[in-house]
Amino acid sequence: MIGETGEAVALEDFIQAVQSQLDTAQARMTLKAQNDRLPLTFAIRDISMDLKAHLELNQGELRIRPAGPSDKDPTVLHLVFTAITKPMIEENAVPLSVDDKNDVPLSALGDELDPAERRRLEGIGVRTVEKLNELERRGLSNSVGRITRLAPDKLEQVLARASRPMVDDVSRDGADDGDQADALRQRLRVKGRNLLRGGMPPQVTIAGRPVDIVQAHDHELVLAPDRDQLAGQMSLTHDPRAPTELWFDQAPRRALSTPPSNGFDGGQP
Amino acid sequence: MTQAAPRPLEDLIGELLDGIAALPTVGVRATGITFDLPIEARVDAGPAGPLVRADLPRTRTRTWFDRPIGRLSLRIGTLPVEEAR
Repeated sequence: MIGETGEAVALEDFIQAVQSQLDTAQARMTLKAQNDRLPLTFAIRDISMDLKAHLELNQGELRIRPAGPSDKDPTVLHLVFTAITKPMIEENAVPLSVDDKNDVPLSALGDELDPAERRRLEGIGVRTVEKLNELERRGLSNSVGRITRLAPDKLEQVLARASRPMVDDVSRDGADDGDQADALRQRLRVKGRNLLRGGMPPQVTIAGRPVDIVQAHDHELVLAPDRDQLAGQMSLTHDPRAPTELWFDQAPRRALSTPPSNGFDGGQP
Repeated sequence: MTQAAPRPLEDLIGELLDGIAALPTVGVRATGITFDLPIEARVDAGPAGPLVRADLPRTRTRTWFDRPIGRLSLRIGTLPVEEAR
Protein backbone atom coordinates (compact mmCIF):
# COMPACT_ATOMS: atom_id res chain seq x y z
CA MET A 1 0.00 0.00 0.00
CA ILE A 2 1.49 3.23 -1.12
CA GLY A 3 0.10 5.28 1.73
CA GLU A 4 0.88 2.77 4.45
CA THR A 5 4.42 1.91 3.54
CA GLY A 6 5.48 5.47 2.85
CA GLU A 7 6.09 4.96 -0.89
CA ALA A 8 5.40 8.04 -2.95
CA VAL A 9 3.18 8.27 -6.02
CA ALA A 10 3.68 10.63 -8.96
CA LEU A 11 1.45 13.68 -8.60
CA GLU A 12 0.06 13.27 -12.12
CA ASP A 13 -0.79 9.62 -11.43
CA PHE A 14 -2.56 10.74 -8.26
CA ILE A 15 -4.51 13.41 -10.14
CA GLN A 16 -5.47 10.95 -12.88
CA ALA A 17 -6.63 8.48 -10.24
CA VAL A 18 -8.87 11.12 -8.63
CA GLN A 19 -10.25 12.14 -12.04
CA SER A 20 -10.99 8.55 -12.94
CA GLN A 21 -12.71 7.94 -9.60
CA LEU A 22 -14.81 11.11 -9.96
CA ASP A 23 -15.86 9.95 -13.44
CA THR A 24 -16.88 6.63 -11.91
CA ALA A 25 -18.97 8.39 -9.25
CA GLN A 26 -20.67 10.52 -11.91
CA ALA A 27 -21.30 7.56 -14.21
CA ARG A 28 -22.94 5.65 -11.35
CA MET A 29 -25.20 8.62 -10.59
CA THR A 30 -26.23 9.00 -14.24
CA LEU A 31 -26.98 5.28 -14.55
CA LYS A 32 -29.08 5.41 -11.41
CA ALA A 33 -31.08 8.37 -12.77
CA GLN A 34 -31.59 6.56 -16.09
CA ASN A 35 -32.72 3.37 -14.37
CA ASP A 36 -35.11 5.31 -12.09
CA ARG A 37 -36.33 7.31 -15.14
CA LEU A 38 -35.53 10.61 -13.44
CA PRO A 39 -35.49 13.71 -15.66
CA LEU A 40 -32.72 15.34 -13.64
CA THR A 41 -29.62 13.98 -12.01
CA PHE A 42 -27.15 15.46 -9.61
CA ALA A 43 -23.81 16.15 -11.17
CA ILE A 44 -20.49 17.09 -9.64
CA ARG A 45 -19.85 20.75 -10.48
CA ASP A 46 -16.50 20.97 -8.79
CA ILE A 47 -14.61 19.39 -6.00
CA SER A 48 -11.61 20.49 -3.99
CA MET A 49 -9.44 18.45 -1.69
CA ASP A 50 -7.01 19.53 0.96
CA LEU A 51 -4.59 16.67 1.29
CA LYS A 52 -1.79 16.64 3.82
CA ALA A 53 1.22 15.05 2.22
CA HIS A 54 4.96 15.19 1.79
CA LEU A 55 6.35 16.28 -1.55
CA GLU A 56 9.41 14.76 -3.16
CA LEU A 57 11.12 15.91 -6.32
CA ASN A 58 12.88 13.02 -8.03
CA GLN A 59 14.55 13.53 -11.45
CA GLY A 60 12.06 16.19 -12.45
CA GLU A 61 9.07 14.17 -11.28
CA LEU A 62 6.94 15.51 -8.45
CA ARG A 63 5.81 12.75 -6.15
CA ILE A 64 3.56 12.89 -3.12
CA ARG A 65 3.30 10.71 -0.06
CA PRO A 66 0.15 11.20 2.03
CA ALA A 67 1.07 12.18 5.58
CA GLY A 68 0.96 9.36 8.08
CA PRO A 69 0.18 9.44 11.80
CA SER A 70 2.37 11.85 13.78
CA ASP A 71 4.06 13.21 10.63
CA LYS A 72 5.35 16.69 11.40
CA ASP A 73 4.74 19.71 9.17
CA PRO A 74 3.15 18.10 6.15
CA THR A 75 2.48 20.12 3.03
CA VAL A 76 -1.16 20.91 2.36
CA LEU A 77 -2.04 20.21 -1.26
CA HIS A 78 -5.14 22.07 -2.37
CA LEU A 79 -6.49 20.29 -5.44
CA VAL A 80 -9.44 21.65 -7.39
CA PHE A 81 -11.33 19.66 -10.00
CA THR A 82 -14.13 21.02 -12.10
CA ALA A 83 -16.52 19.39 -14.54
CA ILE A 84 -15.46 19.75 -18.14
CA THR A 85 -18.32 20.03 -20.59
CA LYS A 86 -18.38 18.41 -24.02
CA PRO A 87 -18.14 21.78 -25.86
CA MET A 88 -15.01 22.62 -23.83
CA ILE A 89 -13.41 19.33 -24.86
CA GLU A 90 -14.30 19.82 -28.51
CA GLU A 91 -12.88 23.32 -28.44
CA ASN A 92 -9.54 22.39 -26.91
CA ALA A 93 -8.72 18.76 -27.63
CA VAL A 94 -7.18 17.13 -30.66
CA PRO A 95 -10.06 15.20 -32.23
CA LEU A 96 -9.52 11.47 -32.31
CA SER A 97 -11.86 8.76 -33.51
CA VAL A 98 -13.99 6.92 -30.97
CA ASP A 99 -12.90 3.40 -30.03
CA ASP A 100 -14.50 0.69 -32.14
CA LYS A 101 -15.55 -2.50 -30.36
CA ASN A 102 -13.43 -4.47 -32.83
CA ASP A 103 -10.30 -2.50 -32.00
CA VAL A 104 -7.49 -4.41 -30.33
CA PRO A 105 -6.76 -3.35 -26.74
CA LEU A 106 -3.24 -2.26 -25.81
CA SER A 107 -3.01 -5.32 -23.57
CA ALA A 108 -2.79 -7.41 -26.78
CA LEU A 109 0.73 -6.03 -27.27
CA GLY A 110 1.87 -8.31 -24.47
CA ASP A 111 5.05 -7.28 -22.73
CA GLU A 112 5.81 -4.37 -25.05
CA LEU A 113 4.19 -2.00 -22.55
CA ASP A 114 4.41 -2.49 -18.81
CA PRO A 115 1.23 -1.83 -16.78
CA ALA A 116 2.34 1.67 -15.72
CA GLU A 117 3.08 2.69 -19.33
CA ARG A 118 -0.23 1.28 -20.49
CA ARG A 119 -2.03 3.15 -17.72
CA ARG A 120 -0.40 6.43 -18.73
CA LEU A 121 -1.52 5.92 -22.34
CA GLU A 122 -5.03 5.04 -21.18
CA GLY A 123 -4.96 8.20 -19.10
CA ILE A 124 -4.88 10.25 -22.30
CA GLY A 125 -7.58 8.14 -23.94
CA VAL A 126 -5.32 5.77 -25.89
CA ARG A 127 -6.80 2.36 -25.09
CA THR A 128 -6.40 0.54 -28.39
CA VAL A 129 -3.73 -0.30 -30.91
CA GLU A 130 -5.75 1.51 -33.58
CA LYS A 131 -5.73 4.71 -31.53
CA LEU A 132 -1.96 4.42 -31.14
CA ASN A 133 -1.58 4.02 -34.90
CA GLU A 134 -3.86 7.00 -35.46
CA LEU A 135 -1.62 9.16 -33.28
CA GLU A 136 1.39 8.13 -35.36
CA ARG A 137 -0.42 8.91 -38.61
CA ARG A 138 -1.30 12.35 -37.25
CA GLY A 139 2.33 13.03 -36.30
CA LEU A 140 1.53 13.19 -32.59
CA SER A 141 3.98 10.52 -31.44
CA ASN A 142 6.44 13.00 -29.93
CA SER A 143 3.71 14.79 -27.98
CA VAL A 144 2.36 11.49 -26.72
CA GLY A 145 5.84 10.38 -25.69
CA ARG A 146 6.39 13.60 -23.77
CA ILE A 147 3.01 13.55 -22.04
CA THR A 148 3.16 9.88 -21.10
CA ARG A 149 6.91 9.83 -20.33
CA LEU A 150 7.47 7.06 -22.87
CA ALA A 151 10.94 7.27 -24.43
CA PRO A 152 10.81 8.05 -28.19
CA ASP A 153 12.54 4.78 -29.13
CA LYS A 154 10.18 2.83 -26.87
CA LEU A 155 7.14 4.42 -28.48
CA GLU A 156 8.59 3.80 -31.95
CA GLN A 157 9.20 0.17 -31.02
CA VAL A 158 5.64 -0.19 -29.71
CA LEU A 159 4.20 1.46 -32.80
CA ALA A 160 6.22 -0.82 -35.10
CA ARG A 161 4.95 -3.82 -33.15
CA ALA A 162 1.40 -2.46 -33.14
CA SER A 163 1.31 -2.05 -36.92
CA ARG A 164 2.82 -5.46 -37.68
CA PRO A 165 0.51 -8.04 -39.23
CA MET A 166 -1.17 -10.03 -36.45
CA VAL A 167 -2.32 -13.54 -37.35
CA ASP A 168 -5.19 -15.16 -35.45
CA ASP A 169 -5.80 -18.22 -37.62
CA VAL A 170 -4.44 -20.14 -40.62
CA SER A 171 -6.76 -22.61 -42.38
CA ARG A 172 -6.77 -24.53 -45.64
CA ASP A 173 -9.45 -24.70 -48.32
CA GLY A 174 -9.75 -28.08 -49.99
CA ALA A 175 -10.31 -31.69 -48.98
CA ASP A 176 -7.63 -33.98 -47.52
CA ASP A 177 -8.40 -36.78 -49.97
CA GLY A 178 -8.46 -34.69 -53.14
CA ASP A 179 -6.54 -35.56 -56.29
CA GLN A 180 -3.50 -33.74 -57.64
CA ALA A 181 -5.63 -31.13 -59.43
CA ASP A 182 -7.32 -30.29 -56.09
CA ALA A 183 -3.93 -30.01 -54.48
CA LEU A 184 -2.93 -27.39 -57.02
CA ARG A 185 -6.04 -25.36 -56.25
CA GLN A 186 -5.51 -25.44 -52.52
CA ARG A 187 -5.64 -22.14 -50.75
CA LEU A 188 -4.52 -20.96 -47.33
CA ARG A 189 -6.69 -18.44 -45.51
CA VAL A 190 -4.78 -16.25 -43.07
CA LYS A 191 -7.06 -14.37 -40.70
CA GLY A 192 -5.87 -11.56 -38.48
CA ARG A 193 -5.36 -7.81 -38.34
CA ASN A 194 -3.11 -5.20 -39.94
CA LEU A 195 -2.84 -7.40 -43.02
CA LEU A 196 -2.90 -4.36 -45.32
CA ARG A 197 -0.73 -1.30 -44.91
CA GLY A 198 -1.55 1.62 -47.14
CA GLY A 199 -3.82 -0.74 -49.08
CA MET A 200 -0.92 -3.10 -49.86
CA PRO A 201 -0.61 -6.68 -48.59
CA PRO A 202 2.58 -7.85 -46.88
CA GLN A 203 5.24 -9.97 -48.55
CA VAL A 204 4.47 -13.55 -47.58
CA THR A 205 6.97 -16.38 -47.55
CA ILE A 206 6.53 -19.97 -46.44
CA ALA A 207 9.61 -22.09 -45.82
CA GLY A 208 11.69 -19.21 -47.16
CA ARG A 209 9.93 -19.05 -50.56
CA PRO A 210 7.47 -16.38 -51.66
CA VAL A 211 3.78 -17.25 -51.89
CA ASP A 212 1.26 -15.72 -54.30
CA ILE A 213 -1.55 -13.73 -52.74
CA VAL A 214 -4.83 -14.15 -54.60
CA GLN A 215 -7.04 -12.03 -52.32
CA ALA A 216 -6.16 -9.43 -49.71
CA HIS A 217 -8.29 -7.70 -47.12
CA ASP A 218 -7.21 -6.07 -43.88
CA HIS A 219 -8.60 -9.04 -41.92
CA GLU A 220 -7.91 -11.88 -44.35
CA LEU A 221 -5.39 -12.99 -46.96
CA VAL A 222 -5.97 -15.85 -49.36
CA LEU A 223 -2.70 -17.48 -50.42
CA ALA A 224 -1.93 -19.87 -53.26
CA PRO A 225 0.87 -22.04 -51.83
CA ASP A 226 2.83 -24.76 -53.61
CA ARG A 227 2.09 -28.33 -52.54
CA ASP A 228 5.06 -28.34 -50.19
CA GLN A 229 4.09 -25.04 -48.60
CA LEU A 230 1.15 -26.26 -46.53
CA ALA A 231 3.27 -26.43 -43.39
CA GLY A 232 6.30 -24.69 -42.04
CA GLN A 233 7.32 -21.21 -41.07
CA MET A 234 5.27 -18.36 -42.51
CA SER A 235 6.62 -14.85 -42.55
CA LEU A 236 4.50 -11.74 -43.28
CA THR A 237 6.45 -8.54 -43.81
CA HIS A 238 5.43 -4.94 -44.35
CA ASP A 239 8.62 -3.62 -42.81
CA PRO A 240 11.74 -5.86 -42.96
CA ARG A 241 12.67 -4.63 -39.46
CA ALA A 242 9.47 -6.04 -37.95
CA PRO A 243 8.34 -9.26 -39.66
CA THR A 244 5.63 -11.45 -38.23
CA GLU A 245 6.65 -15.09 -38.12
CA LEU A 246 4.64 -18.13 -37.16
CA TRP A 247 4.70 -21.89 -37.53
CA PHE A 248 1.69 -23.68 -38.94
CA ASP A 249 0.76 -27.11 -40.28
CA GLN A 250 -2.11 -27.54 -42.73
CA ALA A 251 -0.65 -30.51 -44.62
CA PRO A 252 -3.33 -33.06 -45.61
CA ARG A 253 -3.84 -35.93 -43.20
CA ARG A 254 -4.00 -39.12 -45.35
CA ALA A 255 -5.41 -42.41 -44.04
CA LEU A 256 -3.14 -45.44 -44.06
CA SER A 257 -3.74 -47.26 -47.38
CA THR A 258 -1.76 -50.48 -46.83
CA PRO A 259 -3.00 -52.92 -44.19
CA PRO A 260 -0.57 -53.74 -41.40
CA SER A 261 1.45 -56.94 -41.84
CA ASN A 262 -0.28 -58.65 -38.89
CA GLY A 263 -3.63 -58.38 -40.69
CA PHE A 264 -5.27 -56.24 -38.04
CA ASP A 265 -7.36 -53.69 -39.88
CA GLY A 266 -8.18 -51.51 -36.91
CA GLY A 267 -11.91 -52.26 -37.16
CA GLN A 268 -14.17 -53.12 -34.22
CA PRO A 269 -14.84 -56.87 -33.64
CA MET B 1 -7.80 -4.49 16.66
CA THR B 2 -7.43 -3.71 12.96
CA GLN B 3 -9.49 -0.96 11.39
CA ALA B 4 -11.19 -1.28 8.01
CA ALA B 5 -9.56 0.69 5.19
CA PRO B 6 -11.31 3.93 4.23
CA ARG B 7 -13.66 3.63 1.25
CA PRO B 8 -12.55 4.54 -2.26
CA LEU B 9 -13.28 8.20 -2.99
CA GLU B 10 -16.04 7.39 -5.49
CA ASP B 11 -17.90 5.33 -2.89
CA LEU B 12 -17.91 8.25 -0.44
CA ILE B 13 -19.17 10.62 -3.14
CA GLY B 14 -21.71 8.03 -4.31
CA GLU B 15 -23.12 7.77 -0.81
CA LEU B 16 -23.39 11.55 -0.50
CA LEU B 17 -25.16 11.72 -3.88
CA ASP B 18 -27.46 8.85 -2.89
CA GLY B 19 -28.48 10.82 0.16
CA ILE B 20 -29.71 13.75 -1.90
CA ALA B 21 -31.06 11.78 -4.88
CA ALA B 22 -34.14 10.96 -2.81
CA LEU B 23 -35.29 14.59 -2.98
CA PRO B 24 -38.74 15.12 -4.58
CA THR B 25 -38.69 15.40 -8.37
CA VAL B 26 -41.63 17.84 -8.61
CA GLY B 27 -42.32 21.12 -6.89
CA VAL B 28 -39.66 23.22 -5.25
CA ARG B 29 -36.43 21.31 -4.99
CA ALA B 30 -32.79 21.89 -4.24
CA THR B 31 -30.69 22.57 -7.31
CA GLY B 32 -27.33 22.70 -5.66
CA ILE B 33 -25.65 21.42 -2.53
CA THR B 34 -22.15 21.97 -1.21
CA PHE B 35 -20.47 19.61 1.19
CA ASP B 36 -17.41 20.61 3.16
CA LEU B 37 -16.21 17.52 4.97
CA PRO B 38 -13.25 16.47 7.04
CA ILE B 39 -11.70 13.37 5.53
CA GLU B 40 -9.06 10.79 6.19
CA ALA B 41 -7.31 10.21 2.87
CA ARG B 42 -4.66 7.83 1.71
CA VAL B 43 -3.46 6.31 -1.54
CA ASP B 44 -3.32 2.57 -2.12
CA ALA B 45 -2.10 0.54 -5.06
CA GLY B 46 -5.24 -0.44 -6.98
CA PRO B 47 -5.63 -2.95 -9.81
CA ALA B 48 -5.31 -0.22 -12.45
CA GLY B 49 -3.01 2.23 -10.73
CA PRO B 50 -3.25 4.35 -7.60
CA LEU B 51 -6.54 4.19 -5.73
CA VAL B 52 -7.47 7.21 -3.62
CA ARG B 53 -9.29 6.28 -0.45
CA ALA B 54 -11.16 8.98 1.44
CA ASP B 55 -13.66 8.64 4.23
CA LEU B 56 -15.09 10.56 7.13
CA PRO B 57 -12.92 10.38 10.25
CA ARG B 58 -13.82 7.38 12.32
CA THR B 59 -13.34 9.18 15.62
CA ARG B 60 -14.12 12.68 16.86
CA THR B 61 -10.83 13.03 18.67
CA ARG B 62 -7.42 12.38 17.18
CA THR B 63 -4.50 10.51 18.64
CA TRP B 64 -0.88 10.17 17.57
CA PHE B 65 -1.87 6.98 15.79
CA ASP B 66 -4.43 8.61 13.51
CA ARG B 67 -3.72 10.18 10.15
CA PRO B 68 -4.02 13.95 9.87
CA ILE B 69 -7.40 15.21 8.75
CA GLY B 70 -7.79 16.60 5.24
CA ARG B 71 -10.76 18.36 3.75
CA LEU B 72 -13.10 17.62 0.87
CA SER B 73 -15.32 20.30 -0.60
CA LEU B 74 -17.89 19.02 -3.06
CA ARG B 75 -20.30 21.21 -5.01
CA ILE B 76 -23.17 19.41 -6.66
CA GLY B 77 -25.80 20.77 -9.02
CA THR B 78 -28.68 19.35 -11.01
CA LEU B 79 -28.35 18.45 -14.66
CA PRO B 80 -30.78 16.93 -17.17
CA VAL B 81 -29.98 13.22 -17.51
CA GLU B 82 -29.52 13.62 -21.27
CA GLU B 83 -26.65 16.07 -20.73
CA ALA B 84 -24.98 13.89 -18.12
CA ARG B 85 -24.53 10.95 -20.52
